[in-house]
Amino acid sequence: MREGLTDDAPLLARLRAGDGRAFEELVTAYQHRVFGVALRMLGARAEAEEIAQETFLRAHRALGDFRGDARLGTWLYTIASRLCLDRLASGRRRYERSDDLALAQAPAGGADAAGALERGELEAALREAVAALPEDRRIVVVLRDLEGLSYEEIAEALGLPLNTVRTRLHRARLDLKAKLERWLP
Amino acid sequence: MAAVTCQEIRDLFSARVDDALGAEAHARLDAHLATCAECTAEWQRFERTVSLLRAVTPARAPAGFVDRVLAARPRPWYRRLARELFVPWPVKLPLEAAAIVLVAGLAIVIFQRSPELQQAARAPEPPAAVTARPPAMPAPGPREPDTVQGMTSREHQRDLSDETTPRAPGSPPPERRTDSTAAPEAVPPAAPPLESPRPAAESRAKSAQAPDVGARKEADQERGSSAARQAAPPTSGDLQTLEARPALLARLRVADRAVAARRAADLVGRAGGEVLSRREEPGALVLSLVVPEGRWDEVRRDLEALGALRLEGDPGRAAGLVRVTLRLED
Repeated sequence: MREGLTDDAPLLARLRAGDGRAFEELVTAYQHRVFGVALRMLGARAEAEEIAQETFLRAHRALGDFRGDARLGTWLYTIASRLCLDRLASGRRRYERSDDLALAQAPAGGADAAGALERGELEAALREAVAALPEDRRIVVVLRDLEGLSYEEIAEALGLPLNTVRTRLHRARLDLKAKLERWLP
Repeated sequence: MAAVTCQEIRDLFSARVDDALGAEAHARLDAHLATCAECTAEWQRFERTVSLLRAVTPARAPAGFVDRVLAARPRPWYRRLARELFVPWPVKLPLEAAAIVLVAGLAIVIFQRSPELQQAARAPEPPAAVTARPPAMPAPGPREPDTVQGMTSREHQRDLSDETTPRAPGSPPPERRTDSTAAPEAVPPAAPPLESPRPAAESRAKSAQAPDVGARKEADQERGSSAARQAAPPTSGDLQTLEARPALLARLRVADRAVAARRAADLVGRAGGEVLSRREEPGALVLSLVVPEGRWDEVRRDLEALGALRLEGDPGRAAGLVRVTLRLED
């Protein structure tokens, strides 16, 4: 997992004791990753923030039920993934796609302007390619290649057999390769 | 090694790129790529796709996201209530303190300016028939110093103010006296004590010889006591009740006490004052009056017209009123 926590036990103990500062630390530590999953899945920043916020609020409510046999990060990814998939399945989409504006804004001017522009275009193409994936494949490739979860963690977060994770990941990568022909050798 | 198809090899690409391939499958893949240019090109494109994907700049949550989550977090009811009441505390606490001071001040002012409220707060005067004690009843001896337990502060204050009233000479020692002594019931007016019943015989003798001096001493002690109360942290009763002030004693020698009492009540009423209580004592009819301070001189002159008037002590003033104990004597 990207920047995974080495040991959740002390933080988890404080969270269960109702330490408000511990919850703030949890949100601070995982805010970007949870938001990133929601943004890649939903495409709209406002909607992604709504889902990310709901993820942490649900985690706060469910801390007493968290058994601690998974990492805190995996648990948060589980909640966020389910919220995203539920939102996509519900059809209650109120937001236009906005993606990650920070990625689209390539630095202007300078010697590396051309390279930056190309990188900006590449990232835009990547976002489009990911957004075009079927939802069940998209969540797997987001968790694996963008968030760095292991196969086992993805299987646990999504409640899927390991082989299903492998299969969906491989097909997602083949889909992406087909859409990114321009950028490949 | 069994021959493998290009498709079988390409199905291994994901596991290969994740370093999740077993040694045997890894060797089989490498052997195939060494002989198949098409699969080698495909592998390079696959590997490049994944590396591009992994190089995407991570998304960042918007600024203020953590604060918004913390603000949306449900709090226990008592924290929500405290937050509603006191946050932001630099603003709400001073406002609330000012509001409390303002309301308390208004309550004090309203109480001061409303004699009705002061009367309502005062205990009703005991009926003379109940408090009167048969003259044959043996007079109680000097009471042992006692605490004020069992006596309300209002009773205590009335007790003190009544002591400015001189007692008939030769009457038995009174039951109630100094701040350190107290009786649970009012002194029977049928046998009014001349002075406070200090245990010291010397004090009693002096008072018997000079009752007026004794009364003045009592009044002086009262004033001292009142000053002490003012110096102490004030209570609503101390601050506001006129009864806490010593009354001016007005002795009026008249031919007919009943007639004089009616006229006195009339002229007090015309002056905007009020007769608070009336009681019979041997040889005297005692009225407790309050008169607007600005009309006191007028009332005094009217009283002088009713008989021989003699004033003792200083008028007790509070909230623009003068309290007077009018003693009508034959």
